[in-house]
Amino acid sequence: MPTRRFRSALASFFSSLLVATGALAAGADEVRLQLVELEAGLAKKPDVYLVLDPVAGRLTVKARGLELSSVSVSEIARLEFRPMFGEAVAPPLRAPALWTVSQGPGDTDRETIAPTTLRPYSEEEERSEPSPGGASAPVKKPGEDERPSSYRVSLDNGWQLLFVNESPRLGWFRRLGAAVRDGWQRLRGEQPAHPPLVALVVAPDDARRLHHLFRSGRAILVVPPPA
Amino acid sequence: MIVPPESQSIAPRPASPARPAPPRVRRLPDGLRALGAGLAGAAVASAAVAIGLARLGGAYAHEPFATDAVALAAEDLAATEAAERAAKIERRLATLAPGNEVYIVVDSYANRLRVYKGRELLREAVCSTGSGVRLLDPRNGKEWLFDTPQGELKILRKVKDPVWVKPDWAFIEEGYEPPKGMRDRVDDFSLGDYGLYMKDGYIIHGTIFKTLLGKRVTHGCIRLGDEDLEFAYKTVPVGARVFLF
Repeated sequence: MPTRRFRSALASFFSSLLVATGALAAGADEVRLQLVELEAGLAKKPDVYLVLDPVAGRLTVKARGLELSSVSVSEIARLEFRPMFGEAVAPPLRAPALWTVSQGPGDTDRETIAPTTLRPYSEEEERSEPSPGGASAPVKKPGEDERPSSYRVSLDNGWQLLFVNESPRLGWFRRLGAAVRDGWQRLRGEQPAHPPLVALVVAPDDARRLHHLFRSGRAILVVPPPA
Repeated sequence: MIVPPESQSIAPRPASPARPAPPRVRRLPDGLRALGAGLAGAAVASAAVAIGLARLGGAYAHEPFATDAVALAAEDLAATEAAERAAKIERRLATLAPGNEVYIVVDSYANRLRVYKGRELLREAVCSTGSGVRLLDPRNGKEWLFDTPQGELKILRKVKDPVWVKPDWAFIEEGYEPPKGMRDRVDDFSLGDYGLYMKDGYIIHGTIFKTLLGKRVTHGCIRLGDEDLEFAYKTVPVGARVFLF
């Protein structure tokens, strides 16, 4: 059940960070200092940045410290690829931290216009055939402009953000099926890539709302829970 | 005296119920038995192969989200010092955001332009923003991306009755070679009555295609309807910040 899983995720998030911060003698003030230092570094620049707060379940769009928009994240989970009978090896995730988008879905999903030839410009022809393209790109039909509600965003720390609209279902049988397919691919000499994922469960419209914000170089500030 | 058995009085026995006949074992034909055994063997073999493949491969497992704390720098701050420093940075951070000034926020997903003064929303308008389309020049492979920029820009100047000098891409996407003469590039009607110019040629301007307001159809500029454009022109000063996302 997503809610229960989400609660356990929060509990785990809290406990692991409490233990870790305690071990490192990192008090709440030091963590807060780290966080504001990171955000101040981002807000000094004119770029848009995102703030992911796993405890509050929010992803906020900001620029210069000003909140421009935010969406609700109903669940956040780590999806790590692991052998069916073994342990996963994934790069560590730290918080507070800055993640940077290395490739966003908006970088690859573009429509391309590529005329094959160009005819000489004629003022008369241009005037007789006014088109919205006079100051517009081609007009799309309704629904054609729909952005996907589920997509991946590659990060520079080796992880990927996976935007989904429902909690990922990874039961034992589903995992077995995936492991068999993966094993078959490996047997054939292929090396399928399975980067570790941070799955964010958001409403479809919210996922579409964020899609164009994930461009290469976009910074995401990850907030730790209060110590 | 021995009584012969025949003369003993024997009480009548109750009639015992009829015993069910033992089930008759039906034996499957040999062919079916062989088929069943074959299928069972194949299933076992398939399971063995599947487990072997699964051992060779792997799958995603669902874990609760957790992170590790960042190791602190060697500098060991007292708690009060860290709190003071954090508060100082937070105050500095607050000064970066707009105070009581007039500024614009453009939501390029929803195609909405909002004019604020401080926290007060002065006007919300439907606008058109960049299509996200990529245009390739067939002559040399040059590429243009029709995106509305994201981040903070500033209004550099405001112009009444702006004139658009059409760049090469405006002709190429129509299938024309860009004209040599400047005269053919001048367009004094497409931008509407006012233009609020930002850097890199991005403009908040009007449009003759009113039905396209609210859609992602532009080459990166922001288009407004006539009344909204007039309001923005009169309300937003030169130097005002524009936040686009």
